[in-house]
Amino acid sequence: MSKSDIFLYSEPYSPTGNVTSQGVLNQLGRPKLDIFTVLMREAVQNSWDARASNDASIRFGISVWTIDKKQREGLRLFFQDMPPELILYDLLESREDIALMSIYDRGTVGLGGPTRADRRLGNDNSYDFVDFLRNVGQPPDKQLSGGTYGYGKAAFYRASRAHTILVHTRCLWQGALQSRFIGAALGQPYVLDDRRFTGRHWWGRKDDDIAEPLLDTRADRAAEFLNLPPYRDGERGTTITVVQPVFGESVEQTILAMRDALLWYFWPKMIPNDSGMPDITFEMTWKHQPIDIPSPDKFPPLDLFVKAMGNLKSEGSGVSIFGHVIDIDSQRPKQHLGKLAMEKGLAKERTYADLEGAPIPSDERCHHIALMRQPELVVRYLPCQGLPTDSAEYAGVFITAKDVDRVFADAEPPTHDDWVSANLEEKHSRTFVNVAFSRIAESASTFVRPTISRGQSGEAALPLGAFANMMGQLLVGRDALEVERPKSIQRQRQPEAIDIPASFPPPITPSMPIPPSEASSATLSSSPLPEVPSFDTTASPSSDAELLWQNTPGDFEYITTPRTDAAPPLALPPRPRGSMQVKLHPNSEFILLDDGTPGIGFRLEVVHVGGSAKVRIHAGTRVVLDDGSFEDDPPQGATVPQVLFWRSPTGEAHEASPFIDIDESGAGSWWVVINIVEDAQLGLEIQWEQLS
Amino acid sequence: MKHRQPPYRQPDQSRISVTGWFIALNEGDAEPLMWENKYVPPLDTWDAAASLTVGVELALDVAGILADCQLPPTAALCAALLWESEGTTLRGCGTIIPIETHLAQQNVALHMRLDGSRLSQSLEITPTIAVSTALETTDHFAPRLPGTILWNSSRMITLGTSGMRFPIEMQDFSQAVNIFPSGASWFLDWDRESFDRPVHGGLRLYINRSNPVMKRAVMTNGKPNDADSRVQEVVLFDAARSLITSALESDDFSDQLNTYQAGSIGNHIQNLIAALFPHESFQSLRTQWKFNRWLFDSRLQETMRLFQKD
Repeated sequence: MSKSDIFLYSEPYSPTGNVTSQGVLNQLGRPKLDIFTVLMREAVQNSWDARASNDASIRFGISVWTIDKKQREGLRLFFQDMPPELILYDLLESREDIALMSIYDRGTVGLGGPTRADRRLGNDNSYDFVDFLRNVGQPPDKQLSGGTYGYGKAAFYRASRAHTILVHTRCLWQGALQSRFIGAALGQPYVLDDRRFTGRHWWGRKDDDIAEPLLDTRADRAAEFLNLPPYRDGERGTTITVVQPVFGESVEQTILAMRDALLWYFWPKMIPNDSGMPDITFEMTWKHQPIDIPSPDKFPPLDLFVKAMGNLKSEGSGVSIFGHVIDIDSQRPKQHLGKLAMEKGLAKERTYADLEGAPIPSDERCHHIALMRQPELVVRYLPCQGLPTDSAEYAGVFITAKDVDRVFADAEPPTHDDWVSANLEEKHSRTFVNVAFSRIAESASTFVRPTISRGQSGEAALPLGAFANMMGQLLVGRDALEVERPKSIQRQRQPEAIDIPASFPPPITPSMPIPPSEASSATLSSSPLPEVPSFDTTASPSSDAELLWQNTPGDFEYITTPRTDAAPPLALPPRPRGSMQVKLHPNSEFILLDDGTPGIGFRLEVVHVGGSAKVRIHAGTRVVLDDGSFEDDPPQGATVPQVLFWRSPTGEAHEASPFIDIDESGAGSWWVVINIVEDAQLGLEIQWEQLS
Repeated sequence: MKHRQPPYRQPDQSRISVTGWFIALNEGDAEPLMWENKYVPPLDTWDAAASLTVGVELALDVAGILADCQLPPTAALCAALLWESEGTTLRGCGTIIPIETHLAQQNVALHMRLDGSRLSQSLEITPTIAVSTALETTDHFAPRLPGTILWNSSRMITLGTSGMRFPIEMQDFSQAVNIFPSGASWFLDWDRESFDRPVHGGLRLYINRSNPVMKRAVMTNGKPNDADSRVQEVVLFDAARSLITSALESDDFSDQLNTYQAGSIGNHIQNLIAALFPHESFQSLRTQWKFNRWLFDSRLQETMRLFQKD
């Protein structure tokens, strides 16, 4: 390489205007991904699009190394003519180490075609060289290709601190292999001698006043001098070398982050295809030492994505037994949009090198669907509904149908990392993209929906209550712990141990004295307990009395409610000595009066104890409602039950009144007769009060 | 004192005797139960996935019933079993059996099967004697309208247990959508570092329903045979070991001891350890476990009395 051979061509503005260097750099927009992830995505997509054969696999590699003094001097010579605004000059003149990062592919067609954008040379329809190095935004020639814009080249320049790259390619040109070597940079637009320049620069051999690539032997010697990845005999491909990449604090960490990016976005190309070979063989070196790239099935959660892809691929071939490949369709307009397959698995420990750039965070269970188009490069990971457990996760793969692949490609932004329906002009196309997203999310939700105690075939749920109770022994509450041990988890008896826990409360026995303050309420303790009248039911019981005082089982409710309005609820009033007792007999009798009126007779037993005073008995008559309560507010005009008459123990009838006064002479069996209300259950409430 | 009385004659209580109540989970054997009180012991083993078979047997003094109600021998009466669940507010009627009113005595067996999904909290069952069809009678107080209830008696059964149940779910591990090895029998699902999470939400035991031994062992309606009991013991022990050793292994658990809220996994593990090893501190157990974790496993077998119960 002689000093005079290398020519710098800095692009001046043409009278009709040009794209500036900044325009090229900004073509990627503001990608959501970091620059090295974008670079990996763009580079592999370009390489895949450039594959020489649809049947053969390609090789894709990244090699990073620090150049030595001799190579640094060679670079300085190559870039001897330097535009003043480019920082490459400062870098080469500094004491800072200079790193080169070669991104290369082999088994691809290389950057063929003419080297000038303004000429058509020969019969070769390929314009790869000028599309990559000269033109801006050139769409790819291939159908169903990974990239669609040709804007990705900006990523290479942006990855360089000096926005400078070296390109060494080997292609077929006019029927023979040709090596090409050229440098290119995107600086700042500038003005020199009243002439405006776009900031785009090329270094090569001078030909017709522009910089053309070094060719063949000279090109290969330049590459060899810089230690760029070599070509095997007859091999075609491209090596794009980024000068002084914008590594972060750690070169090694950046390299591993790129490795992770390759795994995240190109794992479908790493797994064996139908021929048993991966579509792309990836390799990486740092300072010429190989970097291990784990197999995707050893890089959780990609192992699940690989399985999901296997499910999807095996469908239709009779191999799939899972039946979990789902057609994603649009109904209106009717269109098959693609296929979705999913796979669940136990959550596994992550081995990410790049925690921040991972599309699925390392502390998150995978619940994502990998979205792909026909080239099977991951566009993005769509988060969907998660599983209800932390122990498991799932992954899915969605691949667009061939018929609509172009629609989804058009929906991609320049970085190819999403499908944005707003990018599409045609209404149906927007529908297809939107429907695909919603159907995928719905399918994922169906997939993860808990199947509590219910089999996949709709098998009946199974009762587990007894077993769950038994296992519940493990869920020891603090209270249970203090009172009793779980039945089958009994403490081992230790000879010297006290069997009763210290916290166990001592049992209260009847013989223990109870302080008065604890025995009853304040009201009761402040006054002597009244003497409860005793009924000697064994002395001379009548058969009726025996029945009366027994707590007879049945549906009847006995409530003793002395009518003492002033008494507080908990402080029963002292009952005067010699009071009367009134009891309502549990049985009643139907009575048909002489005038044909039907009635029900309820029997009361009035008992005097000692010299008791007169008592007034109130008979509350009500209709009973459905809930068993007594009707307090009958409908207007409705017939209500009322007392027809009272009958004394001597058979004497008393007036129809809701109450009756009975003195000592009236002790015995009384009857109160009330009228029947048609089709209604009748209720009688007896209350009584002592009269002075 | 209150007394309720329908406007028609009813038979004396002695005319109808309940000779047995029956209740069984699923297809299990029902044994006659005598429930003297309205509220009966809770059915601990019930869960919503279980169906219930309930029944009642009545001995009827048919002639006495007719006489008490002043009904002719041609009266059409029936016995029915009604049910109502408080939690779901659903109710219904099981079998309806005509009463042979030409007989003096009759024994009636009423039964029904209830899907557990229709029940919650409690089940009230009410055998009832009622009038089937309208009756022509000269007695002013005789029951005559269809549906008139002559007698009933109800029992309230509390469903489920007041104690804690371990969260359990049956899954067919052989199904592809499942996440567990298809040949595994169970899987205790919990995050071994999330002791703060509540038990119901952070802990779940999955049982492989495609394993017939496991399936049978966990569906015993509370009456496991010896083989089922052994399987249950092993699962219980394995779950306990998982919970306890994870706590012993965790520095976080050791640091946060006594701070876990009631209901959290950490709190339950701490209580479980205290119940099993009441005379040893957590730190002492931790040291033992670190020193010889296999010996600790054996100690756990001993204190849980694994395979020691007849």
